[in-house]
Amino acid sequence: MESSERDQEEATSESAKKLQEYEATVAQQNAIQEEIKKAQPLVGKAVSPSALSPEYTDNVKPGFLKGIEYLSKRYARLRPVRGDGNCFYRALTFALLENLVLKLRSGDAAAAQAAKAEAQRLVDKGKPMKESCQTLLSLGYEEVSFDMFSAELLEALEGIETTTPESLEAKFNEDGGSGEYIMWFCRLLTSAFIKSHPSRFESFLIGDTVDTFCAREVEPLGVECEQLQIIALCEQLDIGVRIEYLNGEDFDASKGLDAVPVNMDGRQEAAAELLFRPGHYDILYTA
Amino acid sequence: MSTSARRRLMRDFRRLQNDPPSGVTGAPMDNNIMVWQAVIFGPDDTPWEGGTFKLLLEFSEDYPNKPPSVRFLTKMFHPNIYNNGQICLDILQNQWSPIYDISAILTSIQSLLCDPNPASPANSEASRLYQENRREYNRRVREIVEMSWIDDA
Repeated sequence: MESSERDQEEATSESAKKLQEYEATVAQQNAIQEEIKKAQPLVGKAVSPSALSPEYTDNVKPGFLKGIEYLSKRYARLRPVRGDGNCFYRALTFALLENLVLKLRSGDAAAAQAAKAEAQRLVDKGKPMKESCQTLLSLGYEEVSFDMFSAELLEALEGIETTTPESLEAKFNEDGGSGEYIMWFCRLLTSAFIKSHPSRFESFLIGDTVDTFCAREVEPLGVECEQLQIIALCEQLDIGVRIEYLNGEDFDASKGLDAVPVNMDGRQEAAAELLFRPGHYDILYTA
Repeated sequence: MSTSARRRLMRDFRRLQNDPPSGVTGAPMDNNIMVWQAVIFGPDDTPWEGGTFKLLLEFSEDYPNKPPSVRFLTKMFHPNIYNNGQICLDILQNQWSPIYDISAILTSIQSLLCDPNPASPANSEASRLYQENRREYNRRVREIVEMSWIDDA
């Protein structure tokens, strides 16, 4: 009896220790998130790509500084995006919308017309947004769980002609605001594509079904994405992107880095130009 | 401050009323949509059968971008529930997604009751008994079930 009481006591103190450990981990994770939140705006001001150099001066890999030098010649500006695990989705949605806004305001009538048509295409024909919502419903998602998010993306596209670069930046910089809703909806669109094309993706998912993969690697906020998610989102939206990979590997400076096209077949223009560095995505601008 | 959290909570409430999942109920507390009390009924044909387990859900203005904080008010004995009632459940932590509404949260916790995850023990004794002495584990669960009827805090 005594010994079983002692067992119980020991078990209780062990459980208390577990709880303390758990709370410490949560507190630490929150502190890291807060730190990132304070240090990095959701969508920062565009700077010269050379602004990345100080981060890599002491890096042993030769490709970083050399790559930044190349990027500074090839691209006019770089816009840093908060590195909270959502950066790809945020960078892509911001760049996609900003590109439309810039074209509409460029004074070039043909470009403006094309941007208007593209916004319209995203809203209705090809109907990625509306069609996507149907896809989500048919996959068993509840409308109540995503319609607030899809509405923000629709609203942003429908209001594109009255949007300024400044108002777009403000929209994306509100914590928990509209830009965050749009970013999350793009996660769901990524899921929609993967789940409605299981045969294309299943062979890449080791020990996962498309459902378990999406629940763990796509839908949770803050989970970083890989090539597979990027392809899925681009195809779901029927857009192409180009991604520069700055991973520190040495390269032939006369050729430059290799911008990797995603879903660019038959397209001239990328909806977004992005920069990948290990674990992170930012936005690039040629002009 | 954004009111989208409140709007979403109102809709979660309506959904919970119009289309109630079996074995769970929940409602906001006295005029505060941000704090909810919920009850999960122990699933039939399990040691949890007949239990009425109360929970408190606290939402922040970041909901549904951030999960609510959820804990049991009723004393529990379960591998994934800490002594203070906090729950170790992936969708309430690192696998949170705005796709989960209150119905989904409560039904996930309900299924966790009978389907513990021994990989992330929060109560080491419950976890050990669950794996090594299921009979004793079930007896302790029945004790908790009986306590849940008196424990009307």
